[in-house]
Amino acid sequence: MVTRFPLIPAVVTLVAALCSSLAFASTEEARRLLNEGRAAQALNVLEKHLEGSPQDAEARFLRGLALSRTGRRDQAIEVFANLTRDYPQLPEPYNNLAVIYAQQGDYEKARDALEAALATHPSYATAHENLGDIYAALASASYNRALMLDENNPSARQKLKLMERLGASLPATRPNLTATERSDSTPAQPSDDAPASAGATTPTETATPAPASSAPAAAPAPTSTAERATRERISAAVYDWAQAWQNQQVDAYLDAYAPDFDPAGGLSRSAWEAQRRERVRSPERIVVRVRDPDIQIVDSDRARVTFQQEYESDSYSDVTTKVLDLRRIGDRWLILRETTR
Amino acid sequence: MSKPTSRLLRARTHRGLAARRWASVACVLLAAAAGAEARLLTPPLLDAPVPPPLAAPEDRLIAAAQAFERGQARLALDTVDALIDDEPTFRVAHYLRGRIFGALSGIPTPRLLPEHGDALAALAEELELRLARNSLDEARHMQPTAVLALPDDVRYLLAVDLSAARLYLLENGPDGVRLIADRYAAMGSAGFGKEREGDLRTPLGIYRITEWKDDASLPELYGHGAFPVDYPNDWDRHRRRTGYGIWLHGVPRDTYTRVPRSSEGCVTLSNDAMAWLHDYIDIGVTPVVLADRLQWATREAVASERARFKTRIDDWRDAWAQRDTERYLSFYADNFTTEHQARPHFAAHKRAVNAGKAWIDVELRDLTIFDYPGEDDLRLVSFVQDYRSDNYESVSRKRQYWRLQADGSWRIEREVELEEREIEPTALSAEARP
Repeated sequence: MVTRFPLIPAVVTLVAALCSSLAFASTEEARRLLNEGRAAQALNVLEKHLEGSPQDAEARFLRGLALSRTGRRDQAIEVFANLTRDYPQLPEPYNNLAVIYAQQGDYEKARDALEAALATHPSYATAHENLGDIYAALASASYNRALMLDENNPSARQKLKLMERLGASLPATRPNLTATERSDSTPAQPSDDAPASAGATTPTETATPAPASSAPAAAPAPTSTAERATRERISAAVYDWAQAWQNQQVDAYLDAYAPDFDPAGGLSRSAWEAQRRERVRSPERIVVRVRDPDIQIVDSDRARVTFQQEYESDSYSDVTTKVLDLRRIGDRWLILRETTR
Repeated sequence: MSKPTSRLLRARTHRGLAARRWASVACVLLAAAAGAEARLLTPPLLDAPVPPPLAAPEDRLIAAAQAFERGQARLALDTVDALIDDEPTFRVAHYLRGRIFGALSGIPTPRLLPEHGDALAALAEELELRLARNSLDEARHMQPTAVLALPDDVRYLLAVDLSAARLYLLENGPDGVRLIADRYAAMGSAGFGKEREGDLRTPLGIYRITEWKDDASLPELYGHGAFPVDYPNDWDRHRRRTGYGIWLHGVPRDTYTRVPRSSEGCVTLSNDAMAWLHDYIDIGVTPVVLADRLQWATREAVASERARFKTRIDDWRDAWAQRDTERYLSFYADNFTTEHQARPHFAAHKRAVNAGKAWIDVELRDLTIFDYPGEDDLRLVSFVQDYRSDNYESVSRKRQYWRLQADGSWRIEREVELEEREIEPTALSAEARP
């Protein structure tokens, strides 16, 4: 979960132009849903559409994105790999394939995919930047092997932090975007990649306004897809919080807490903040992992997330069971209470 | 960022070929197994071209590093990747790969835990030392100046330049020693100049390999096997140095070599180097020079110094044979000692003994001369001495330590008789011995 490359939600206009206007409507709908963070719904639309037009490249591409957003990386890999076979001249499927490989820790495959993307599009800036991070990860992996350390050592994870930075610079350098994609690179718009762009994005950007996606969760009998969308928003909030902590971005970290957050141990909010600023900043490095999150949606505005928190810094490490009580404030899920079991 | 070139594709092809090569080997094996049952007489799949013999891992590492230094990162990567395929435990190759990827990424190396930083620094040192390796072609007509003379029965010797982390295999010949090959060799974690047990230093001196310990008799730490040397020798004991168990040995199989300063005082070599070395070692005979730094000169230059110094030794022998005791004693330094005597007692004894002789004949053979590592202008001279006189004959092996004095002359600082065998024990008294 710490490896987050921004996926490229784009296929060149050439491909889009090949699609029929009907197909275009479906893919636009799917894209809108993806932009709103409703990947599961987008997936439904796309799969229905692909039953009729199985070769629609853009729909397949979006389906790959939707699959990766809903955590189905193996399927997403299959989709993008097929696209690279069918459209070897397009760099984006290679790029996204690389990103998912990198998320899985397979940097060698990620490197192959990105270098393949660059073989056809040598000036493809995003692939260059992603490749830079992949190279950095490969450097780290090589150093680990040189040191006879196993792959789970801190310096490897450190490298994954570096990859987060890439995400921030992505929109500015992304070429070949269609009009709709270009809009999502504007910070004021909902990020199409909210769960994935945690570490390096600004707090406002992670706090994606998504009224459409939270509304179904507020309904008394939410549809399963709507609930899934809410879950995605909540889990994105938790991951953003963990990322900010790991990246030692104190402001973003504190921003994940609700204004009426109640610090444990009788500390005042300001004393707690001062303590957290000190503790988040002072280590040389921090690695935070969220394992096996269990999301319970209490009501339309409240949720509880329980997970195994793996914390490691240069001086300390522990694994605890953490419970975050979250409250929806406007369109954001913020931490109301943080307890360790 | 450099764009991918056809070299990258070639690397894949190379790897692919290797995989296919194995696949075809597997096919042959399978075919052979199947053939036993089904009696299929399929010709073996040997149409694939036999690849050229690969250079030694270190040569490939150096080629990769040099390509990297020239800015050919792709070529460097292809080279190092192929090397790692063949030598997956070559840690410094992984380190180089990390450096190359680091440079390609344009992202600074991540902060590391201090101990990891130290470990990477050690690998950086190893890479640097390996890259600084002398060109063997240039060294072909050179030899270490420390090796001045060797007996004919010594066919090979080992000289280790500890600062350079390099072991040289040298062949003894009539006109000096000739370099055969070199290998990377790591030393004690605290460097060289062993004085005390547990100081983690590798001794400096002239030693001899005393035995071969094979893999089966040793823990995994020693890898392919070990050649113990005779530390502490007589000079070390004279210097009151302690410690024991200084070996040349291999490495555990999880690593191709160890970093330059890593052992408790032993010299460690790759297991393939140990296996290779095994054929050249004559137990009890092969000398080992453990030097902080080897100086090299042409064989001609060393030969002229040898001739000059041999004259000095022969002058000493001649003074003795002439029973010119005062001239003989002038070869001994003021601080001269034996294992039992200081100079005054030695002089008195020699004067008494030589005065009682009608004639003396001294011949030296199997002359060995080394500049002694870790000492200022000290030379080890050892030989077999055939001594005959009117009333006593003996054969003995002597080790002398000659030091260059302030007046520019070489004099004997220490003399040790390693073994003495009396010949034709006629009627003579103990004090008549030379």
